[in-house]
Amino acid sequence: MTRRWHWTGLLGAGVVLLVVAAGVFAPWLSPYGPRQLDLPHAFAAPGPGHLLGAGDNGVDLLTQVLYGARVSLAVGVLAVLVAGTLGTVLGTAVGYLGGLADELAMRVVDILLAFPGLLLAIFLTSVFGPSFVGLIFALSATGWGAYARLARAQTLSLRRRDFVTAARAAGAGAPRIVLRHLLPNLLGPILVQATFGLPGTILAEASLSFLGLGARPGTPEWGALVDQGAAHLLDAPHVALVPSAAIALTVLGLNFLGEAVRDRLDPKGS
Amino acid sequence: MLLVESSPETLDRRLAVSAIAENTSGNLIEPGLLRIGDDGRPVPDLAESFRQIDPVTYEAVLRPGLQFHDGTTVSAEDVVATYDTLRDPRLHSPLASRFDELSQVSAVDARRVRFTLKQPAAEFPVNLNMGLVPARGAAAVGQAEFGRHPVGAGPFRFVDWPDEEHLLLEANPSYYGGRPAIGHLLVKTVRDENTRALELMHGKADICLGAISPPLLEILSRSANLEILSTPGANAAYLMFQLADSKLRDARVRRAIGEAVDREAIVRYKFGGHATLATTLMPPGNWARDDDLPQLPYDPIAAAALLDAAGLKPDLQGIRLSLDYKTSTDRFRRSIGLVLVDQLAKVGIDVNLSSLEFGTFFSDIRKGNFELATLKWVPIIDPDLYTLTFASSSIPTPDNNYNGANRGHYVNPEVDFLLAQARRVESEAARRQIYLAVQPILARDLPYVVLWYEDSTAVMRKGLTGFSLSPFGFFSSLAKVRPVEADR
Amino acid sequence: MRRLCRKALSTVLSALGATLLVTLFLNLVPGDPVEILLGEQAQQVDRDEMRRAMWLDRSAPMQAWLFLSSLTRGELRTSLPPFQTRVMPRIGKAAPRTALLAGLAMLLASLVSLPLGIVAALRAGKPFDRLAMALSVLGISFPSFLVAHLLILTFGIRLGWLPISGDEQWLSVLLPAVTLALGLSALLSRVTRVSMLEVLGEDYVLAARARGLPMRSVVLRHALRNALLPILTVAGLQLGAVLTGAIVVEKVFNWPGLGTLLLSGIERRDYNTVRACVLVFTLTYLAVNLATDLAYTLADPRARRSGDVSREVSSR
Repeated sequence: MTRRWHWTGLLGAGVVLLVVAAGVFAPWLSPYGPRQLDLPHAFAAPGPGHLLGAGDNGVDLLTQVLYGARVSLAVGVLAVLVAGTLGTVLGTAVGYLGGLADELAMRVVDILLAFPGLLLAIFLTSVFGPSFVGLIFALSATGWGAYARLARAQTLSLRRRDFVTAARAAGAGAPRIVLRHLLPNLLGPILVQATFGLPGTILAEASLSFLGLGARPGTPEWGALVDQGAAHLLDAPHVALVPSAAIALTVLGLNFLGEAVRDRLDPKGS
Repeated sequence: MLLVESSPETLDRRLAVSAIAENTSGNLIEPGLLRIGDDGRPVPDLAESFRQIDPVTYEAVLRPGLQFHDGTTVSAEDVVATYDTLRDPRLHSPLASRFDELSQVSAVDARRVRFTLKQPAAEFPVNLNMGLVPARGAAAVGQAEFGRHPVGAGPFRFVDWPDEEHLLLEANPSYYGGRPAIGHLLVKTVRDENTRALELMHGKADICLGAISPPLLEILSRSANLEILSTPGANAAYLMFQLADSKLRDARVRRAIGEAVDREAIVRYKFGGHATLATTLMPPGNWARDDDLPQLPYDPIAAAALLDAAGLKPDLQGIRLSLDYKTSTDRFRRSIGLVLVDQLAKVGIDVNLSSLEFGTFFSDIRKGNFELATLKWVPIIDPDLYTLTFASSSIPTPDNNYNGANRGHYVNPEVDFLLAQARRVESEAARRQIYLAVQPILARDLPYVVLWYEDSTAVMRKGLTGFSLSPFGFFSSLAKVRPVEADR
Repeated sequence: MRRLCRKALSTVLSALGATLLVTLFLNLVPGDPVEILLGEQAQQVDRDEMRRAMWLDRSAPMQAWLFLSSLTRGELRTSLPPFQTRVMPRIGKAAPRTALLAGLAMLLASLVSLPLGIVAALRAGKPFDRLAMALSVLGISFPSFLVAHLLILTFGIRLGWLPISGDEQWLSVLLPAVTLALGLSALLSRVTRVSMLEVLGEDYVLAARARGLPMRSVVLRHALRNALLPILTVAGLQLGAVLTGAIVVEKVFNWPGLGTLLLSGIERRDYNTVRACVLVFTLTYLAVNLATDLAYTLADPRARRSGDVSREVSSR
């Protein structure tokens, strides 16, 4: 059992590192500029001039994939950070305070969770049109509820514990208790939730940009690239498959890594 | 089996607005007195002769022995009925406005018909390709009826239309041009282009006219059992400027933009050679075309110099001018747009491309709400198109209900005068002279940069012969298609 | 029973809240809603027409009321002229197609993942189990459009067996349904496995084994029936993922369902259609969730004591 998660976890970590490096060093690693065209080689199959092939108007797919890594990672990490921070803080606060604030907050979360999957994100982006900020906003809005619920549940169970009573007896105010005592204990489960959240968010971002709801058109995004390639499955299937493979690889790596992290943090978890 | 990309909305030629409806009804089922020849001139079809008697009167004589699909003889009465019902407000024909100049249609005898106009209109005869319908059927003013069970005198007669995607026709033995060799013709609608290509590749469909885009044509050309036909098309893709906008009012700027675009590269790499560089709106082969106009060169350096001369120097980031460019959401068009954006960026013009959904796009164009836009005029038949596109009376405004296609607000009194003249002269030679005077003016003023003429294409399975491709992509030639005799 | 009432009430409240959010979201956004939707360059005429079509000149409660009442009466019109067509008939045509797709996908997914999960549980730790679980991780990591494209390339293009676009033939539903089903199967097989493992570890199962009953009959008669319930629940709750997954799948296959209608509404900035579609999706999802909860609670008395079903099973 131990040996099993080890190698997948390492593999996952390796893939994630690769993707991060790709994103960070994209400008240096890319053989072409991000918007550079090469008309004579439009839709070229992978070969010497274009290692991963070329897409519409000859854009180099390797370049697009490298720059796309930036967007996917940035959106994914930021969305999870915003959702996680916001959700945790709010959930802890209402869990500790209880009463009306708690009821109200949980109603709001219920409403947000009433929307199936990506629908809320799709709906939110439909108003503003494509934009980077809008994307992060939509993805965070969809995700923070889970963190809030989790934080609240943890808070509720923790607040009756001895160390909290002791702290209160010692005269500590609510904020101090929350920050000093509750939050650190929450971190574990929250991090576990985040390991589900990150690959999910990246998959969501890919789907949104595939649907045309991602960042501004012209931004190299994996999902948008697949969308462009979808029309050419007959003549140039690699244009759709290469960015899809990038997405799958990244999400897979994150899932493996996530599993390993979860096993480490919470060995008796499902 | 003929593959098409969308279904005809009706089979009543009098109501047909889309190209597919026009071609299906007008070429196959209900041809008219005249048809459009490859050079844009009207040519007798069901009529055996056609002439102009005086400046406002034309006379057509029907061929003898013509029969409708229901067996009745085609007579002058039917012609009169066709044109009368066409203009009858109860039919609600969207084409009625084409016949505003028509004052009266009358039968002189059983086969002779006279058309009398309100005033001379040399561009009028082209409209006489209207499909002829029997007087009895013509009386069926309820749209759905006739449009779903059309009767005409064409090479194919209507059999069945069970659902939107399948239209079945059969050969008409009494067609004046001879019974078509194809016994049955199924017109099948397949909306997805890849699926159309697959059906052709797998031999499930026999022919597809004009509904395959250049990248797929490449793939299909490699298929052993398919033949690709291609001929310069009667259309013109163009880049339109909004002249009411101060940025584009200077002709030097427009010329610079025209010279910054490498059209030859686009024709070679995006159309795979299935397009021809353009100089004027009139396509090659058209009788009114000015064939002596020089090509706009691809010369980015000269373009930069022109922009300098116009006072547009590069700023710190190298940008001289920013423009909004609108195009439709069609992937191929958008892709071409991206190439244009890239090429214009190289001379310091920063172009913001927006791809708009068709309704919004067309609405914006009509209202003049654009700076640059690319579109295509298709089909281009009669040079009177120039009146629609460049006469100052054709500028769409709220007052005239946005009628007219002079969306770039081009105003030139000399051109207005010439175009009005061209409508009044009688002889074709005189008309041609006038249009030969108009085209150089437009080539100098550049309200459009006419980009290229896109080929009319056909993908046909090998083993069929007799098809001749029209620059208009007409279906008429299907009447002459027959299987190749097998070698024994 | 009390728990059920509470659940129903909570669902109704969520539905109301979601409806209000969808109806009034534009008003909550900073700035002029019309300008946001149409962009700065829009002409005044267009702005006025959109303002009228969406009742933006009225107060917020009035807007919500007008939207909802016209929606329920079937009178709702698209908010972007000149195509002042009715929205409900379009939804009426599109929704059954999405339902067909989703239903078939869930059926296919169950047919595959149930046996897979059961066998994996029975052979826990052995190669089959490891393989199955590895495949399922792949299944949840692959974006659905990748699966769709691979299927199109293989069965549509290379082999030419199946249609790849539209709904013109009756076989057209197959590839889209399989695509949807694959993603769902990955999740369902994992859940099935976990659920089976839990049940297999229960006392009465061990007791039956100890009595000498063959594994197969134990599985079929006792374990399966008890494991089935959580599985069905998860399946019901996964409807949300299936519905939104359908949006992507419909796009790839040009399937004329609710997802396609939603996307075209967004493209055309036809906010009325967008709102109506989102509402239909959401309310359907909530209704199915409630029904699943109901079924679960009625079927399994033990569930009545434990916590919220959805929370329990969705924490994976």
